Amino acid sequence: MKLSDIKDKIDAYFDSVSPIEIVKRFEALGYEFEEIEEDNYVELHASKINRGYKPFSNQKGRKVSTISAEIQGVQSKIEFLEVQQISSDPAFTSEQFKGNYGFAMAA
Amino acid sequence: MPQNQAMVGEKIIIQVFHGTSYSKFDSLKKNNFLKSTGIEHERYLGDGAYFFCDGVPPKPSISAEKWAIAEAWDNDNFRYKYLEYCVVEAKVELDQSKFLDLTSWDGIEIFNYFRDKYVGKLRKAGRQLSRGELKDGHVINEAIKSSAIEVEAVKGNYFFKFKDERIVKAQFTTPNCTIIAVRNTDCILKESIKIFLKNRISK
Repeated sequence: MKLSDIKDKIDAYFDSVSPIEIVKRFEALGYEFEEIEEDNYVELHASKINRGYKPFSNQKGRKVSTISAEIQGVQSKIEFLEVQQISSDPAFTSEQFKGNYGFAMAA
Repeated sequence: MPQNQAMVGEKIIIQVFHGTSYSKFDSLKKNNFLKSTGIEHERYLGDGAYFFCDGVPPKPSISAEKWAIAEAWDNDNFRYKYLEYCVVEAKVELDQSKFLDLTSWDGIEIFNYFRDKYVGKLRKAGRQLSRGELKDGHVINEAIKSSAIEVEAVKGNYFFKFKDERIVKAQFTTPNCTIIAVRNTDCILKESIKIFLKNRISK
């Protein structure tokens, strides 16, 4: 069983049910809830990331992945290259790759 | 693929083991295993008939024997409920697309997707638990029921307390067994149910 096979069903359910309905369902199972006093809920922006990667095996020596997202107001775009190219192409060193990857982690 | 597991077309056949009182065997053989919904199952994989299967060492037959011995002890009355126990062996035939395997990347991805959805909804409702903690089994039961996903069985790695662990009150997070909860008991091949081992607890 894979997420891609059932994701639409899961999303359809959670889109149709309100947060309070979920609370009630769990209360029916015996759970007890109380209000969160100071709620500083922050929605994740990483979930909006557009992943457009292709299989590595088909893209040797080429760009294999592009990830773009708006994170905290900053538009970011990160391109991943196949590792073999990074080591042989002086124009794109492993240090640059680490830098880009580090940026992704920091963002 | 783990040992004692085979693919036949779109089907997966898994050898499973269940430890119990020997007196229950005839009923199991005649009526098959029953899907149970007990409170203990909320902690693990939700509703289903529970078995040990191949995965985390030791062998599932050893875990099943340990379980039969541990469950024999009645801690309220300080006596054994039964002395003769057995390990029952069976085969389970599952549709690959209806098998939620939480020992695999795909399975964990599904569970975590559900978990994030539930936690996110509670967070948006501005509610926190005032008593108890969300259990895997409840999330699995709720997720399957609510999203109308057909799941015949769920498999996962867990730490179980057997006799010695209960005596020394050990609690670990690293799993010591792989279990499978068969939600659709029609998937248990009735003709495959047989005794793997029979023994007696020595006091």
